[in-house]
Amino acid sequence: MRLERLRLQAFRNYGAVDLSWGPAFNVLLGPNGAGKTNLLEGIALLATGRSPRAVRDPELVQWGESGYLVWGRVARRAGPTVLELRYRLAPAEKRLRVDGAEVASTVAGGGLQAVFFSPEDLGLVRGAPVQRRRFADGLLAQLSATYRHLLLAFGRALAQRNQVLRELAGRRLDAELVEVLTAWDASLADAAAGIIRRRAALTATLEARAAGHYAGLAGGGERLGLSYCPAGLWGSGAMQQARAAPTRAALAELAAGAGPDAAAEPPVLRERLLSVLEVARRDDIKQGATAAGPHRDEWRVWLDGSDIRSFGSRGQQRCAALALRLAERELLAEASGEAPLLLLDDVLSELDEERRRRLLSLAGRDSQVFLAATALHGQALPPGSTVFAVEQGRVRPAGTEVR
Amino acid sequence: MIYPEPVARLIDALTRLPGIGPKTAQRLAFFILKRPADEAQALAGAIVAARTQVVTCSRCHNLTDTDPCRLCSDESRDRTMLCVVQEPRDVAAMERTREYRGLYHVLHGAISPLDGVGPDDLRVRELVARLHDGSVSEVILATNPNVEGEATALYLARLIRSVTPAVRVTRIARGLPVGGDLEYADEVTLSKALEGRREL
Repeated sequence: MRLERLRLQAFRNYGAVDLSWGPAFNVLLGPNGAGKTNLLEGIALLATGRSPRAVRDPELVQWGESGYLVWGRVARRAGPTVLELRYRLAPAEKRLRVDGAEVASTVAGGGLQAVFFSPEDLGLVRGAPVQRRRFADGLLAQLSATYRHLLLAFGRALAQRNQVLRELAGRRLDAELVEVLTAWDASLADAAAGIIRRRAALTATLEARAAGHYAGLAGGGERLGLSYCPAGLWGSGAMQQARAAPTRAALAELAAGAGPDAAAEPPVLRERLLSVLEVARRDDIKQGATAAGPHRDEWRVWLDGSDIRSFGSRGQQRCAALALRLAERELLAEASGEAPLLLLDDVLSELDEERRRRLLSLAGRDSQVFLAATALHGQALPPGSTVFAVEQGRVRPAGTEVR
Repeated sequence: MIYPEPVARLIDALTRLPGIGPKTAQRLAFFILKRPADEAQALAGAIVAARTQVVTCSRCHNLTDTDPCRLCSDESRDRTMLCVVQEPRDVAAMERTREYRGLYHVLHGAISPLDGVGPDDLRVRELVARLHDGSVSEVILATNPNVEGEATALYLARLIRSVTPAVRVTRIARGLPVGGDLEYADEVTLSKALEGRREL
């Protein structure tokens, strides 16, 4: 797929821009703070409906404006599509239109797929669990509308359950309220079982792909591993989160009763979650929060069997993060049959020349690429690259690189 | 305010209606002012009459102008079936099917702790009371297929089973719209339909 045109209005530091992109390699050159990342963010927003920088919509609106517009024309194999994402500050409203027809921006996708590489990706490997959850959720949400629905339902059920927990904190013997809690437990377990099963299935494919890319990037003999640790399912105490990686067999057993594409959620997993919630109930009430569930899940990244978070070098961690992103790209491409856009935000400066070359050759295969950089570090660009100069919220075509 | 006091008051009153912002309220107010006086009189009369004459039915808690309501007093309806819905407008939707011949029970909402709505704020106690005389043999839970509606249905199912175990509790199915093509159904609906498949 190709993004042919992008219009931004009152978005970040752009008052109004209207840009036509090259079909292959687009390079955005400019000093720090010029707005290169904001352009990539706009493209990513059109693809996923949310900012890859985990920023809330009000912060995306240009200072003093009442809302933003991101508009794009996409060429897909099936034909051209026009996507329009409008956000209004007050009263807050976000609307996505695909070819003029409104779709629920939170549930339905618009047919544009993009992978965002940023220097903060190091956090995928080094950072807090929330960063790995966001990565997995972002990828699964692009792959499946059902997953987007499950995430929304889970978030809502969790908020409702926590509210009941807080109400119960004062009066423990309120039998009616305990019954209400039981109803929310069931709702929560339904959505959670669906999320956990899909995360477990994703982990297996993601690991295989990421390991391949890691070998390609690092060029060494170490093997990258990835394991999924659903919170609370294997804890000894109810409040204790299982941080130890479960065995593959244990995960498979829980997901039994449903094939990877079956619609019904595995009953074993749902029952296990219900009993975990019941055992943890008293502590949950004390805390006013739900301890077990996909909102606390964790992944561990391994290099030849040792935890890369504690034992990996910075270079190894960076390669692992890139490998995860490249695996994301591959899975998206397989699902849609078309290569997703690649948004590379200032990632070259962090790599040595050999890895730079490898990344660009890996990335450049059939994808339309958007590369933001302050300088090219002498890196030769593929023939037919289009260069744009970005400065102070203005973007100007700076010619086609013929080298 | 730049408008005469009575006009400003009218605009203010209209703004309180759901879905009406200040601009729409102004447009409505000036429309009313332009029309003949008796039309305004008729509108005001209709509002007051509806508000004073409509009550909730003491049995099913639907909105009605007679108590018990026409549905509850209709002798031809099947008194062994009770369909539980969230809102009065859901009764109207079910009635449009002309298929359902049982009685209704309107909850007036769904359980939502975040909005401060618990079973006590709904007509749950009244529902249980209706089941005690043994005339109802099946309760159909037709709350909305969203998170709150599902939790409410789960809550009611457990409650009814514990209080009146003889009563059969069912939940309406979720699935595909009739007359549509499979390929246009959204993934979520389709997977729910798959989940609720049955043998032929």
